[in-house]
Amino acid sequence: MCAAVPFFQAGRSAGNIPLVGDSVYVVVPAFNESPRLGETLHALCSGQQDVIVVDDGSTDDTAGIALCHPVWLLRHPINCGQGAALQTGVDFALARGAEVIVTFDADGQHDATEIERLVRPVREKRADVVLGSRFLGSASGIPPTRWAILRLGILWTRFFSRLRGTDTHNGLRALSRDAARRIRLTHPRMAHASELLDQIRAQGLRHVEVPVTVRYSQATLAKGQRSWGALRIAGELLLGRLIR
Amino acid sequence: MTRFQWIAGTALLIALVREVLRLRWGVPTRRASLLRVAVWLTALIAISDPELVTRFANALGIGRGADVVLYLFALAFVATSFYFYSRQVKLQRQITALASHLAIADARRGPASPPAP
Repeated sequence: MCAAVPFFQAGRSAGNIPLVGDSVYVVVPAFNESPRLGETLHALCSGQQDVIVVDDGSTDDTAGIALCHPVWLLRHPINCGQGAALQTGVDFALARGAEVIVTFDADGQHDATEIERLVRPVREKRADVVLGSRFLGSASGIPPTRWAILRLGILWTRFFSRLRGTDTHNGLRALSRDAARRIRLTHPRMAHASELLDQIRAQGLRHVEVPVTVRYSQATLAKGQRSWGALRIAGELLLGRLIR
Repeated sequence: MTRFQWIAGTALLIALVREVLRLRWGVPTRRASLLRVAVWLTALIAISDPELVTRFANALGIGRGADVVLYLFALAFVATSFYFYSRQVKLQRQITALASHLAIADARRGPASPPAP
């Protein structure tokens, strides 16, 4: 069992948090990721950034594994969805005084060494939001059905979000403090990724894409979204436009 | 009157009387109670005098009384579906906000150094 310091015992509350300077916070939403989380956090903790793991109501040892690493752990009492977990992590990072917030998947698909490349345009004030693109970089082991669905997702984004991009639903992104404050994710589940793109345009935020690597493995494909999940996301987004 | 009219009419009359009595005793949800009174009363009239529904349908340019009932049910179904979906989304957002608040209030920090590989 790893030692953990409760947030309240450290004399801190959500409303009275000491600011950390020009800092980068990496938000890692995790749901039942105990087999893969350790490796992901090991890679992330070797960098300079602060890491926030949001355990989204996991029933396995995700929280225990997170607390073995020098990270912040936030736990949703119930499973709310990846969008909700990201928003919780972003809210906490903002309260901690984050200047740049990076979102990073817990399943080990992303490469932690690419965070610096992702953060650079925000630090240089060239962009408010930086989106990782696997189609500009590489997507090793991507199944053909996933490739086709992601391509359709790009067309969807161009049509509905009116945002030209080469990738969609990539969990590796960086947001400036201002962008993170202005974007509010209301879709708690997977549709949040498209909602974020909608909000980039609606808020008039500057965005760029940078090439990133996404590694697919048997484990990540088994745990990740099913291909038919795209239909559910499309349904959620369309209903969300009809009903507020 | 047919047997169905007797059975349905009696059931609707009981529901109507119950609702009127609740209104007289002062229920907290007066608007909902009045709406139920209107629904039971309309159903009672429609079942007691089907010709009335047919005349209403003809006035609207619809041939049969049964058709106008079907159309009204279809419209009511769509409206209630949207209403309940909207309620469900709102409730989900409230639960998410609560879960997020609890998670941030109970944030924990791991050890200062990572575990040995």
